Amino acid sequence: MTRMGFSIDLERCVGCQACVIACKTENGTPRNIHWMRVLEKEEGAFPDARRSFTPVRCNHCANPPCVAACPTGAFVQRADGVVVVNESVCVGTMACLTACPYYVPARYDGGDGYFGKKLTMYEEAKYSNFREGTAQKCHFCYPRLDEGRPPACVEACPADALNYGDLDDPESPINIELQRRRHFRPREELGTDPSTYYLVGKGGGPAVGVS
Amino acid sequence: MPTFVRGRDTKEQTVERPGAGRRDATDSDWVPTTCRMCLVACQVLVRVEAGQVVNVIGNPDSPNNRGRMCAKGKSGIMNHYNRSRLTRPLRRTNPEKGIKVDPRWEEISWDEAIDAITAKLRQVVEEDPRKLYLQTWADQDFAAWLGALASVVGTPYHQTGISGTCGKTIHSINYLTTGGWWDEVDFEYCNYLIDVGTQQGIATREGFNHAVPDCATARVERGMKLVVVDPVGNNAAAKADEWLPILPGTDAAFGLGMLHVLLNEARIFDAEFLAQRTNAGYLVGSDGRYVRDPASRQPLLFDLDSGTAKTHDDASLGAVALEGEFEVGGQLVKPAFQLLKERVAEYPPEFVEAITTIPASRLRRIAREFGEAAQIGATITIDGVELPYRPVCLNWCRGPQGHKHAWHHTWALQLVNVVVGCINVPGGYQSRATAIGWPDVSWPAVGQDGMMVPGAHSGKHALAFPGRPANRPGRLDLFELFPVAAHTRTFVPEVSKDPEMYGLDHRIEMLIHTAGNQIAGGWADVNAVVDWYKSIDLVVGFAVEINETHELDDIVLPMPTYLESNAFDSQDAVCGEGVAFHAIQQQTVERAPGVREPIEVMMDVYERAGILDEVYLVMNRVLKLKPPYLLETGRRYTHQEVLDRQAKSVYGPEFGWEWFKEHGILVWARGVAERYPGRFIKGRIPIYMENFVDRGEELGVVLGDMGLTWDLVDYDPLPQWIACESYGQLERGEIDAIGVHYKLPYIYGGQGNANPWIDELCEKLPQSYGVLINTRLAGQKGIKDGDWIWLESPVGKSRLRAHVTECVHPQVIGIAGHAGHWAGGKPLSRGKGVNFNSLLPYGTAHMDTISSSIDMCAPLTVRRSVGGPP
Repeated sequence: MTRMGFSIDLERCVGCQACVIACKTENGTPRNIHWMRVLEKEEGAFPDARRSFTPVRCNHCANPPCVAACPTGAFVQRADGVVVVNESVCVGTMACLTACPYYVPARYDGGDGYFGKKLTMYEEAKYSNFREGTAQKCHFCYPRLDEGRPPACVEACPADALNYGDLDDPESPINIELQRRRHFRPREELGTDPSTYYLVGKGGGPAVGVS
Repeated sequence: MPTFVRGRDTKEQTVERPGAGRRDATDSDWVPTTCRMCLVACQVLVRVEAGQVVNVIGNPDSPNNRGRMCAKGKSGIMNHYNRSRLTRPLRRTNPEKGIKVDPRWEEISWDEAIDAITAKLRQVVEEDPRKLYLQTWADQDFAAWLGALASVVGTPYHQTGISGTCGKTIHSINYLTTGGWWDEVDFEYCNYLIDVGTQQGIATREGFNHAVPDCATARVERGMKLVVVDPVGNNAAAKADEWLPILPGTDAAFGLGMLHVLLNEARIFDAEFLAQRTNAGYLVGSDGRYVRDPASRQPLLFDLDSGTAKTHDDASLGAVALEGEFEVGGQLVKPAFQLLKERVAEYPPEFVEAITTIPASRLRRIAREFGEAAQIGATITIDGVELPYRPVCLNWCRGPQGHKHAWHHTWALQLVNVVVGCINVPGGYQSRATAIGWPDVSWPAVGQDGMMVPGAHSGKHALAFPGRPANRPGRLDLFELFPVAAHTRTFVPEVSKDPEMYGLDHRIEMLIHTAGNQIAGGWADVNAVVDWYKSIDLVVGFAVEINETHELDDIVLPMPTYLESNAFDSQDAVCGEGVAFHAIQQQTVERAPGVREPIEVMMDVYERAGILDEVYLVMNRVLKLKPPYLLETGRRYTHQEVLDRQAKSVYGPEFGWEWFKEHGILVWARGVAERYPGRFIKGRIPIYMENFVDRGEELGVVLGDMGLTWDLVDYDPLPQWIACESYGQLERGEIDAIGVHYKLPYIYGGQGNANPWIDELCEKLPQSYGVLINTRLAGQKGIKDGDWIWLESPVGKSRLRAHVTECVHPQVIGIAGHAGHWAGGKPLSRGKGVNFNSLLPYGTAHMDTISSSIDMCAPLTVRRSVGGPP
């Protein structure tokens, strides 16, 4: 079996937002739709204050509440664990958003392009893949995965903070990384079994929380 | 597929193109080219389908970015398809010029535009070629073709850099201490990095896409300690082990405090390096000059073995005295290092704390940690060659340079690297292009007094050593009054107000510039720059979109986007890496109708002006063309024909333009001496700027003759801390805060946020269009997060959104990126954020007497604004 996992190294991430725009360039998501985001937060009091950066995207859960909640069957889990939205089936009930504990799906309601009503040639080409009134989220760049290529965000990341691979293969780079580094999964206690792992701390500390 | 190029072990790059091959279908392609979204110039593969650009990814074969790309690079598609693109030449019909004044453009033909430009060019060349001013930026090929005009007609004004402040002391001090032209950290080995006024390895600067991953590996895998000294808690501070907020304009005090702890308290310094590779042992007399051998006039050092003074080049020179006082030739003299030690003793950490606001205990601890981490005496063997191993670096850049006393801030900081000997060796402070072995050859040599002179690569860059005798100025940039500066174009708008005051008999009547934004991003006080532009009869600008500078142009010429144009560029290498490379930029899609190649446009101008043949003679030299590829008089060439001649002249007939178009990049191996040239360079590095004594005295005489009273206290061979004006204003309570500018990793370089994807990011991240104000200052002023506030300086006033935060020094306002646009051609970014330069005072009083760098401390008062957005 194959189960695609994704790791986000919070120590390496420099908050440069390259993954956010790399996703746009690759997938051509319309205005206001970001499948990948980097959240920023400030912590502490001067002079010990600092900003922190947390990349977030769909966690491609093994027990995806969105798939269970979708009344039309538009949310589909592939054999490799990647959760995708079938836009031709989605009618935009957004039950997925209600069900998702990570607030990931967003609805595309159409609207202008980035330069107004008239679309650029790039937008013409890309937006034809998007149906108005459908749920939007990261699809793990599955067309790239199927060609054996990394997701666009992973490929672009200037800090090498993003990684991916087969969680079911003990020899995969992502599993070797998880053995080596401290990590956690987002809201693991909810039982969603997310495939996203956040790596924290420097060096190869003791492995914890490997499921 | 390794091949051999002229006997060198060269790897021919077979570009790995995703999916199917290069041309997997008749109408689709992955084209290898170079990104031009900023000056870093990473290599990319552009996906073209049916003649349209649909994707861009990093080229994994380029050592520059190794397949990675930043947010700006990835957003390049939207710049290419910019709705506000210019495609027809325009001429202003409104004689009135000014900020937000409509030029009332009329479209004209290329023929009309070229005729108008040629007519004015003929006139100024006949009258006085010094009336012509050229501004070039980024595109090396176009800069060369436009810059050739300066040599051909004889004007001294070719400004190669958008900002008048570009590389003021950065390049000077790099050439002086490393022989190279700008710095990188050797992240492969570095264990302790201090970033001062820069975000090296985290958020900005050249080499982003190879420095960031290597720095991350050093930080996370090897535990490299990162200390960030910066007024702003920026991205670098976010990733730092320690953030030391510093009051702006006090960097020299921080550097001098570091040096005091290292030299006088901990006594950690690389004595061997200092004695053999620097002028630390050169003896200095009471007049501040070297003590010289009466016969040879060479500087003397004190040989402890024989107890006598010997010249630096004496083969019998033994152990060199670095400290103490000696009697030589009847006078008491001291080694330069002793003088440095005495100078830095004036800056104990407690005194430095009072200046910088950095606690003495932290400075003391960090200086000691840094010194210990330098592992002085350690060596490492790389490819069988034993080299010194100094895994520490104090990296500094635009922050410390942006001050009235820029030289002393940056010089004090660089000496921290010099005293521990971490220059151009594994783990330390390295410079690009210090040593080039192939196909060009450029090596530092031994010059006057045994000091290092950079190799041929330094080109026309004026050097701080030995400098030039001062003279009455004949140029509007007063270059003759800055005998050790690299360039002084910061002065042009100031002097142009009243050239006669400096005895100058000309003014600029014609200006041609590439697609930069000199008004919004060059110099300081925007109104002063606008006044200068207004005084010029004909301003010609090449443009992709109409920015603030073009709104003051008389003629605007449309130019291709980077995805529509070609450039040969030049060879390059990442510091420390085992390969060098040459990557090209090529046209990936058809040019927008009406747009012409700028080099061919300028050839038209040259031809009509009757100087094309002379331009060819200059270009044959500039482009290093060799027979049979020389440009021949009486002929016309397309740009691509020239590119082919360039490629074949450098790399031979098999590596023509077609080869480069197919492969995108050529990569070859380089040896240890090129990678780590530090100890292979025979010339010495100064720790004491002896030439400043003579240059300062000569300058004093000239200024006296001219009736000018400039304070020449900066002509001091040793570093010192002198406050910026804003420091005193803050102390006296005349201002609330010092405004500083800092970079965000997604807005680097000028072309930034007119891009809709970047603009969308900026709208979501509050520091992008808002300004950082510390909770404490905000509390005093009754300002809450998200409030509109007024920032007021002596030259400008702006209303913007406050981002109340703990991540900024309480006496500082942090202003990010390149915002505050007002040009009609930039509708997406118009009216968002603040234009930093609009708040900066400008004039002689605000410029460094050594380097002519502009003080970038904006003296600000802050108050809450009533009501919503302006």
